[in-house]
Amino acid sequence: MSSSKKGLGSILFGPVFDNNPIALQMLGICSALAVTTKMDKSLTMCLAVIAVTAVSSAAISAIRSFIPGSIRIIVQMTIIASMVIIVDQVLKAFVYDVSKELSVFVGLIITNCIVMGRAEGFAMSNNVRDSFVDGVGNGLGYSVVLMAVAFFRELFGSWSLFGYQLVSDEFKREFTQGLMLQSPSAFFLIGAFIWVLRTAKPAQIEKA
Amino acid sequence: MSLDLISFDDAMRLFLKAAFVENLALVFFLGMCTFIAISKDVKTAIGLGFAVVVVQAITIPANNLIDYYFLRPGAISESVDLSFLRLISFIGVIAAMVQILEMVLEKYAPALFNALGIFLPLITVNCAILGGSLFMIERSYGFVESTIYGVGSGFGWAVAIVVLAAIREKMKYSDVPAGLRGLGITFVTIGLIALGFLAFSGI
Amino acid sequence: MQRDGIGYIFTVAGTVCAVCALFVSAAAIGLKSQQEYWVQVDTQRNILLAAAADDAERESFKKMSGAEVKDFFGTNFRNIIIDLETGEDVTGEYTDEQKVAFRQIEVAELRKAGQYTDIPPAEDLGQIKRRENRSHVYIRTDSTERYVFPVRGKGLWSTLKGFLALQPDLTTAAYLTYYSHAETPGLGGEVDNLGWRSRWNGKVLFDESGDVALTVVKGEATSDTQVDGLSGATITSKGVENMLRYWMGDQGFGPYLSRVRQEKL
Repeated sequence: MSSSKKGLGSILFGPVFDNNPIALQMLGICSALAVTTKMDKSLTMCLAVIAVTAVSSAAISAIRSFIPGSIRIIVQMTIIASMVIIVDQVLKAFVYDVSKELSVFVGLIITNCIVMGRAEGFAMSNNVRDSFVDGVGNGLGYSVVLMAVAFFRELFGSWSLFGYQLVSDEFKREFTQGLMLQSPSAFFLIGAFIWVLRTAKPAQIEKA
Repeated sequence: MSLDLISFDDAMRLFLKAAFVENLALVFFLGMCTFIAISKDVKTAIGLGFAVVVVQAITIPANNLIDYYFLRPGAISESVDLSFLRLISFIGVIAAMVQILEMVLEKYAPALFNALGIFLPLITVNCAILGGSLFMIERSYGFVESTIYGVGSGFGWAVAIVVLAAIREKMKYSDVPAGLRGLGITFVTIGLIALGFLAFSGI
Repeated sequence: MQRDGIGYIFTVAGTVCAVCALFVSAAAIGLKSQQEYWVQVDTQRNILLAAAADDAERESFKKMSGAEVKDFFGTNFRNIIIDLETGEDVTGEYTDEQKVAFRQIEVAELRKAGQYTDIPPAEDLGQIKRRENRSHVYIRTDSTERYVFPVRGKGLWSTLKGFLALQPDLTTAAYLTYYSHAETPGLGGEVDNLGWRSRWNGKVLFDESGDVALTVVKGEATSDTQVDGLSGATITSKGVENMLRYWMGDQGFGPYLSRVRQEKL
């Protein structure tokens, strides 16, 4: 198994820089972009995703030798869904305002391809510790992209970061770019993000 | 009963809103994985789009009934609140519905099954489907409204993917900067389509 | 047992379900009181925002912690339940606990208990189809006296839910806030605009005979009974007008309003 040769560090940071699940495989952005209008919203979402991928990967890995092949997917789904519900309940209990703004998108972590992908692709064939770290790593990779997009959208959309306004009210009135808060800007930003990343790592360029 | 008839006006308004103003793919970013992966040619896109409409039109009203009779606070008895089970029940209902649909189509409409068959399993994990059901709850739609919302939101998603596929077909012949090739330019294109759809919010 | 035998599959599936169910239920039940606490804080904060004396106070309410909100609401507000038809105060029939649990907006829950009335379409200005028989009224009792009424009605795309605060004369408006709606951002969504909300202060809602006189007009308001409409959002503006006409009228809080005005004389 490859993990025995790989150190924990590379399992953790591989998905952040070299093999980022969003930027390279375009996994899991479904539920992600709608929450990137504010950084605090995105941060909560990132923590939720990290918790879900890490814990569900670890849980699935722990029982991997007991899961019959024929019902493997549904077992994974059940564990992931339970984890998402728990996270959703915790958010509602402790950060009510943010959870209200995240609305349905916490629930949509269930259908986030990263979580399912890591469960099936990594946790089913690796030990608990590695699976947990791999989950955290992929969650972090997701977070980097999400926070980057949120940084630009909040900065130019409302001239604030984490809700802290950086400019005077007058400046804000004159120069605010309302489009940054609408959906198209997120698509453009992701496009630009991929462009930068692939220019830096030409090996990733697709053949025409 | 959850059966609240609504006026034709309201029905049309809900449909237009679901399909265009609040397009699941372009405004809420739902179903992006399949949206990007299956939009390389128009014919497949139409097939997938049609499958999404059918599944949305079935699962959203089905989930509405399940919620009304079992899950909403006070549905079973005054003091029972099972609303925390919504997520897991909905995803189960969606998986089951897709499976049943697949079997029914295979038996009674083999031609349609051949056209849609390969897309159905993909749809279970499509966030647009689960998202549709969750929005239905968040906005507390009745049964009739859910049906209209299901058809409308599915239709909007289908329109978006067909438009994107048509553009990508033409783009095969364009000279795109190396780093943007493939995914990058696709995102920029989706952004432009979304920009166009923004105009609908003014109606 | 065999790894792929039917019995084994059922055992594994059953165990996974049982364990997951245990965790999920534990989380849901264990966190319930904490969640309800925040739902209450949220509602009370919205009421505070409607009842604030001015924008500076409103800003301070926004920054309050959950405990501060509950504390302020508890000491400075009287929370009563009235019978909409007669305008009578029926708070005495409820214990404090029931009073907090009594929610008027979630009509779905009232249906079951038969505590609602269907509204004939001709009278249904707010297009809400049915209204509860009893409703909360929140009265701010410290130096800034305010009466806060829950209102709701249809705009262009969605049902708007909010609170209308009246001055102690029960004729003049003080503030209108919406806490839930899905109108078009930039057009109907401007019901959230603080400038527009503040314009409600001092508007006279009733004429001398006690009928609702308020209109939301296109362009600039020219009298005290007119409020500027939202530019580009005719239907939302009309919706706001109709909902206030309904809730301030005889079908809504009208009977209660005239009763309290009588008492105050």
